[in-house]
Amino acid sequence: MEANRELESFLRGIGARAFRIARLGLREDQDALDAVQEAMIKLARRYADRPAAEWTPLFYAILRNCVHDIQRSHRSQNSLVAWLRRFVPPGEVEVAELGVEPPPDAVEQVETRQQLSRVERAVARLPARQREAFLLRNVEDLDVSETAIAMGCTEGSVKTHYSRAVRALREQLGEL
Amino acid sequence: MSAGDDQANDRAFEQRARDELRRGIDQTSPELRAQLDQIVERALRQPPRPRLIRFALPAGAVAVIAGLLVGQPWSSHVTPPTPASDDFALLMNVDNLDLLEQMEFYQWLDRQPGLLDETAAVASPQRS
Repeated sequence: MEANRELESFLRGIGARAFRIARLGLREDQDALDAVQEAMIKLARRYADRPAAEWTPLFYAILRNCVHDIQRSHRSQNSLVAWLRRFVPPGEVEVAELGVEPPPDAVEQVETRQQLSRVERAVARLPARQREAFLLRNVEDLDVSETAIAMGCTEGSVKTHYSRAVRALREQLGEL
Repeated sequence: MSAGDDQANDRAFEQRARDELRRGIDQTSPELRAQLDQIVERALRQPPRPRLIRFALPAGAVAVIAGLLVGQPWSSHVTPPTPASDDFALLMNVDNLDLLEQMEFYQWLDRQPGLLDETAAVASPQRS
């Protein structure tokens, strides 16, 4: 019972950060929610009896796999759509392709958060490994060895990806 | 700029980027937080994977692989050699391969009309 409460507190605490990290990899809220749900369920089913100190890197290792699975399934869907489009006569416009004007309040919201969006956009443009290293170190505060477990690589590799990420972000964003 | 300055600039940059990212997380909308809470509840309702499955699956996989490896020598004794494997074994023998080439040569020679007669005709005056 106590262990269950501890797990609940862990999952509630990590949810928003995990969502943000998944969102930067997947770019769609619903996909990010699906990935977080999958990762939480897997952690609760398989690793709830592991020491609580191991949960964070384990959870992010699972989340990373879930994000990759969703990206892979999108890639297959996109190839299928691209193949099917070859049979659509040119000049025929699909409804989904028509631009829809965003509501004014949404634009305003984006503008007020422009600085944040700039950082997030720059992070989202990083190669996957660099993005993972940067987010796990800075959003989740994992140390190098925990990040290595979460990313399934060596500590040296984490350091390399991380320093490349910082360099690329500084080049993109200047001094913020 | 010295390496020390560059590192200090990196640290300052990381701190600013970290603050911005965390501000975004703090601003997570109540709707999204409610969705995340539902996900947590769903995850906690999941029954844990039974220990038996957790250990039986890897153990079963190891047993199957071990069985295949150990069973390999027995199966070679039990299974009678097929004609194809006989042919292959015959071909792997270099002496037999030479024999096969000779056989093929004689078969070809036999199919050539009159060639054997001519050869015999050419050969016989020498003998006489």
